[in-house]
Amino acid sequence: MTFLGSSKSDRRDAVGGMIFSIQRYSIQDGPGIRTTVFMKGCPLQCRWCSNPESQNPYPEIMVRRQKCQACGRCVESCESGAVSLVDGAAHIDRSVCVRCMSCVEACPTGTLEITGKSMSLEEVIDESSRDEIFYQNSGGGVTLSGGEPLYQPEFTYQLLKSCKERALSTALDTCGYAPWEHLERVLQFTDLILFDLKHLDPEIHLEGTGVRNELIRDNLERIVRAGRSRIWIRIPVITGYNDSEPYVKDLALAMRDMPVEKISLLGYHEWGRSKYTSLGREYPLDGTAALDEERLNSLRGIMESEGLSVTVGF
Amino acid sequence: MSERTQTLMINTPIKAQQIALREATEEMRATRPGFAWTLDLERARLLTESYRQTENEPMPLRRAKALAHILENMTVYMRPGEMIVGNYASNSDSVPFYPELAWKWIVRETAEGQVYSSMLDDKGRKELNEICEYWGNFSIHHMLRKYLPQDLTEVFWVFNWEAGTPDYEGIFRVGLRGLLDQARQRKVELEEEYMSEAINGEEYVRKCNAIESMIITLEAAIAWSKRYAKLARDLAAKEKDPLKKKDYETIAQNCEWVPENPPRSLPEALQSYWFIHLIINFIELPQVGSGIRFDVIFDPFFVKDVKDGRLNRDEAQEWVEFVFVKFQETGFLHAPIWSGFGGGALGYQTVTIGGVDAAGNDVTNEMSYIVLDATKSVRAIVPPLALRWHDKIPKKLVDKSIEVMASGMPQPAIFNDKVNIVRLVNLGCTLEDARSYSINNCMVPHIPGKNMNHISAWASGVPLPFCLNTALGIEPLAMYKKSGKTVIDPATISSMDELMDATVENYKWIIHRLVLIGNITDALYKEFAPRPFLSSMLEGCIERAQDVRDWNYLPDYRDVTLFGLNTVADSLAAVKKVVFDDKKTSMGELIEALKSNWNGYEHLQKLCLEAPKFGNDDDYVDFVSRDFARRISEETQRCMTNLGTPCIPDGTASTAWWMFGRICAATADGRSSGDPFNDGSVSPMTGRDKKGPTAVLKSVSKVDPLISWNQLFNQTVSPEYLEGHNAEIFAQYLKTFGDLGIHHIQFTSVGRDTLLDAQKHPEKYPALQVRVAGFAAYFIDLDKNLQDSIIDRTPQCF
Repeated sequence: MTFLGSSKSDRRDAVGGMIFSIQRYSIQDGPGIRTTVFMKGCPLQCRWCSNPESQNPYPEIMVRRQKCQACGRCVESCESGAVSLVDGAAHIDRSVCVRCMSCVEACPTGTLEITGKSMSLEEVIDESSRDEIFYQNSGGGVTLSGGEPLYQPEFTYQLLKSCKERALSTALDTCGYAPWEHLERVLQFTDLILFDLKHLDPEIHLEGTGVRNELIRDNLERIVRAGRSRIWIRIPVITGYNDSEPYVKDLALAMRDMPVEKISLLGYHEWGRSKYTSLGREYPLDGTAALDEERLNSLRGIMESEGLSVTVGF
Repeated sequence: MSERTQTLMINTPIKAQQIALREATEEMRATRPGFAWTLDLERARLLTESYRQTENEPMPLRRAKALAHILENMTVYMRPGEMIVGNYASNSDSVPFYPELAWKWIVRETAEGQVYSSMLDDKGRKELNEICEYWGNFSIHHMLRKYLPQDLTEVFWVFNWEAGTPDYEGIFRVGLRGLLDQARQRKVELEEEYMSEAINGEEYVRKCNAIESMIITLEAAIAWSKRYAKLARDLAAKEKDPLKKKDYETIAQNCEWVPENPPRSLPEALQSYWFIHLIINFIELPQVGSGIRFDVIFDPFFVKDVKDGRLNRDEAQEWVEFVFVKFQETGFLHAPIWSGFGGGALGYQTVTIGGVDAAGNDVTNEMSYIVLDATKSVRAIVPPLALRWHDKIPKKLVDKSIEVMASGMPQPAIFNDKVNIVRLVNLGCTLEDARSYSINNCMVPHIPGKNMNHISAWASGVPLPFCLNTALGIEPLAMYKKSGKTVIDPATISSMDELMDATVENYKWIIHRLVLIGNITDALYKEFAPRPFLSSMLEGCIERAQDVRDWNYLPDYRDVTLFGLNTVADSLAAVKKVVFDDKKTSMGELIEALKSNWNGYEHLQKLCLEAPKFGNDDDYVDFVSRDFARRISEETQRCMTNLGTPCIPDGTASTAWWMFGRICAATADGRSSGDPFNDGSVSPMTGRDKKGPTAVLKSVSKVDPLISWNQLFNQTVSPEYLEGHNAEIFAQYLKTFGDLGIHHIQFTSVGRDTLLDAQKHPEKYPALQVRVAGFAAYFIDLDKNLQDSIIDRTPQCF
């Protein structure tokens, strides 16, 4: 299906989920103490993405240069000639690398690590239900995040369904860019939707994320109409992209009649920078300043004056 | 914090900082109070004088007369601004020593060029030698050597501290005068009992001596407090400033009334407590812990004072702060080996708040909050706070505790009633008594006023990874005594279980020897160091006319401290995984790798590091920890004390996990030679808990404290996770800690960045504190390596 991008062909729906992290004691992805399942692969490529390892739907090698002792075992192990020592640390030429992972196996220091792992439904469920006693005490549960969970629609469906069968509370963190039928199917097993909204303007959305936003906005309206799940809107506020006062005013007007419980403004930060380096990529927002709390609060004020319930940060 | 207590605190020497002695710069010593501490010979001098005069008398009377002689002749002082008074050394910068216990290491370490040489001048060294000449081999710890069978000298031991908590509720009801009356009455009854032939002559003499010795010390304690009253009156007479004059008059009135009489107000109750605490913990004999249920004991006085219009809440908090400031002066001179353990000259003077009463109802009162507020404002590491957690704990108390943690204080440590009450009942306490427990020392449950807990300095301390490495034929790095005799044959070993068996076998070898040493120590303490004053404060001693050491309230609490549990668990799991499950190497090759500290075997080290690690909610290794802990506990309980009761393992690991790690060769978990063991006694190995704080709790909860022992469990949290919305979540996290039946948890609530900066710029962080073990320490005082381990503790940045 060209919809999902033909270049990203090795999705693992059939055999299991492609997961890059399962984070317990997540307290920013819905109410209470939660376990967040980070699924790898995303139809968007947001320039500000702080989890660049979440974008490609296949396992990748991350290089933590500061750990490297330049022993050279990775270089010896590589049959494609992709690995070399540059400035006293391992370096991978990604254009040559075939991701056979033999260098990772050879590395004794933990400099080379794989991100992304195919996991069965049972494995993910087992890990996600381990903190059940914490969910009970705190009103928490399981959150599916990514990447984009709906990029792996069958696995996401099965996972949410299994959670509900175990009476675990569920949340879906989505960018909204998925065929409606995929979204519709999971709604019955989703207690809370964390819906990301990057920009109202289709062209600017395309520029920042690589896709237009008509489908996203349409899906949001349909979710609202379906009325099954609680909705929290999350807005990454990016310096110079969607942080102007007139835009935020427009945004507030657009949101005004939506029955969403809460809108969160998440200020842009640079914490993801080192991950780009580890993945051998350029940092797309180089030179962009982080948003300060004061600025975010003034934007919050604009939205609140339209009668919306808004928080800065989670 | 009131201005008065703040001013006082600035000028107060903090003895807990003394570990920094060796590392401190001259500038630091000159500018920070407490750094220029000295060894005070006054107590030793007076004790020796008295001992010389009583040579042919029964030991209980000698001890009593010596204490009376000290109290009558020691220097008493008041520091400007303090409202709670009392001291145990001749000036606030010094600590006494106890030649009746040991003197050789003190002479050795204060000699020119040694660690503590700055604590005495030449004149002092000369007098020290004169005093010690009298003691010769008569000091208990030196005497022990004469009794040790050859076989027992093969094992390493250190002396522990003793601890006991007076019955403050009872004392405050009748005052020391009331106890004195009871003792005198008992003396009369003893004659009657003997005349009616209810007791034999031997019993009669022993009991007479015991009662007489209590009477002597009670009278001496009352007279001692009057010396403070007189001093305060003299100072008041000389004082021109009317406010200060009034303060001295208040002090004089308080000291005139207590501890002789029942306190009539909160200030009197606090003053009475402080006098008694000093004698019991620092003057009669050195003793750690406090074990007081502070809110339970003092709230009634607070309530009455408020009702009668004598005090408001702020004033009450100021009085509590005066006591807390006073705590800063307390401390011991630790032998260098203990200094490494203890991270300072700490007295582990834990104060307990919260919990339930004998009927199971929550005891939280306004004093619980005053204690937390006072801790937050004094910002001191002593007294450490122990908060009792139970199902009915008020949410407000939880929130207040989180607020204190969020302020950067490593307080309070949290103890789970679910575990401690059941353990105490298992030991033979009634349910009512068990519910009244407090935390003494830093980790040990104690029942205030009951004759239990450590009543001798037990020989203690087993680094468990040594038992494991001995089984593998691997020697420690430094000279160390033996850790068992069982060694596996790498050629024939067929499972991890065989290695665990051999490790347990080595532990068994050590533990029986330690308890045999402890039993001789116990006998010597009983013979040569009766505790008449403490005895008079504990329920039953006057009634039975017996010293605390001659009987006990219940199957006793003698314990042996263990550390490195999860270094062993991770190692055994790595052997199971790498050698037996995955067959990536042979046992023989692994042993070679360990012996060479992984040099040339880096790949093997990586495999071992990748094996499942404790702290990630992985049964593969968590159950190894659970099973090993259970077996160790069973072996310990097979060792009988002189009382015929089982010995108990204890998790008061203090900083020993770090210290013993320094002399331990590489271990199979991937740990390099010289690195620390796992933190605390049940925390995961530093940096190996990759799945966050919930997974750590789940792992720890599998090592059942009801069948293993009280477990020291440290976690680091960033302050932002204790604030606002996150604080609410954190409260639920703590609730789950309680539900999971974990024994203990304590948090260092500072960010990693702060710690790193503090390491670089210690001058900027004089008051920055961290939890090192069952107590808190000033971060900058810690050795660089220990600082590094604390920084490496996975910060819980969720």
